[in-house]
Amino acid sequence: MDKRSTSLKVIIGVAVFIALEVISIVLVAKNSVIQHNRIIGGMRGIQTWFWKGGEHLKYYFSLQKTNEDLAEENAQLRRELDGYKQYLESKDSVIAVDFPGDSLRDASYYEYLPATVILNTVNKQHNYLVLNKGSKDGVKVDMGVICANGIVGAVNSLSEHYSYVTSFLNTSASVSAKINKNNAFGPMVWEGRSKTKAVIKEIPLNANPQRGDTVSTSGYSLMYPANIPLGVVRDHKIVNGEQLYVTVDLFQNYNTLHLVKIVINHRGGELKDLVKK
Amino acid sequence: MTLRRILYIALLFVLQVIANDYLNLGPYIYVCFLPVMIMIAPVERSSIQSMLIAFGLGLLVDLLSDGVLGLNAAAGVFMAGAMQFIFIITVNEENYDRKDCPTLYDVGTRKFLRFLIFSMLVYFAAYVFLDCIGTRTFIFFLERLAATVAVDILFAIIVNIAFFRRID
Repeated sequence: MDKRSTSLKVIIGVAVFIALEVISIVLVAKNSVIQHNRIIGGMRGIQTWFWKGGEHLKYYFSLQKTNEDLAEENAQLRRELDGYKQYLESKDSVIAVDFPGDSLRDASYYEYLPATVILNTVNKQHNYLVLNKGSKDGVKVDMGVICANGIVGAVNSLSEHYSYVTSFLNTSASVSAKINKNNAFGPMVWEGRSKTKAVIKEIPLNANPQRGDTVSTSGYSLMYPANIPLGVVRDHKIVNGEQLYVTVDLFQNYNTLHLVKIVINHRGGELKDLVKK
Repeated sequence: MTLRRILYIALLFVLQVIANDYLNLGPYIYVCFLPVMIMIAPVERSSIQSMLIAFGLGLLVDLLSDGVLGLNAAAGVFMAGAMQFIFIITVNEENYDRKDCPTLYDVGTRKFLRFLIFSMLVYFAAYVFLDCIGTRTFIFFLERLAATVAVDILFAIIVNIAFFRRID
């Protein structure tokens, strides 16, 4: 009993010590601009350290899944390579090849910068990520972020070494998506309910989407190249009697994000200027 | 004895206010009686009471000086919290069974000086670090810490001789 009360006394003492130190340091930070900047900077450093540690741990335990994703991406790239080879071999002939020629042209405008997710939230209405690449690595605001199974989000703000990304799982985010079968396109948004579902709006009634149809990026955006697979059609409903809302099962599991690519669009600036004019 | 110690703390507090207003020994030296006030407070070492007293007195000193509010409070709580640990590594506990901080006449000059130096280092390391953060070099931090600790140890010894000669 005596031992217990001593332990309790020590715990309360430590708690009071921490509380008083925190109050004092907050007072210091509030009453001096220089101290404020340094203390907040220090706190951010500690926070980032914890984020990194947490993400490393999470990454370690999800290595098997990451390997599977990489293998799948590798297989996909091989299939695309075979497609290119087939296309080059038959370009003089009249045989039609199922190959997206536009993508080949588009591909040269884009460059991809690999990055690692340091922090990822999925349980809010406005989710976000922090990546380990920043302005020093050439990242700019409004660049898209993708991964093997779809889009991740868009760069919102930057520091020298980190970027803050607005996740696609954000009720204010939107990406231009199309149904591959008939190229019907519209803005795809996350409605804030399920992490595995999104909705494509403004699809014309005659598009007739079927369950299982593949959905991918339309390319009508400066952030993401065309034909990045996003998911498959689950169902649809008519809204206001004039358009379809198509529910999509997303390919990407946002809980397991770790390795992503930041999309650098070399013609993005030129297009932006043109649109402004 | 408790009342006398409270009166000593009040007197030191008045001296602190006067020192803040009239005693300026340059950027390297900060004359501060708060560590001594915390040491002579009639409470148990590293207890919740000692930390609360350190925090309250620190805030009062900060309010009455032109420094940054919270600096002395943060350093005072830091020292008050570390007091028991400092006591264990500097003073042999068997020779001193009271729960408050030792004075010069309780544990002898050598042990008291060790206790005083460590306490002052803890207090002023926290204070000077928070005060210099982001504005000064590490060398300046060390120079200021050494100068301030040296001067304040001298003041603490004078206070101990003046106040505790006839106690106990």
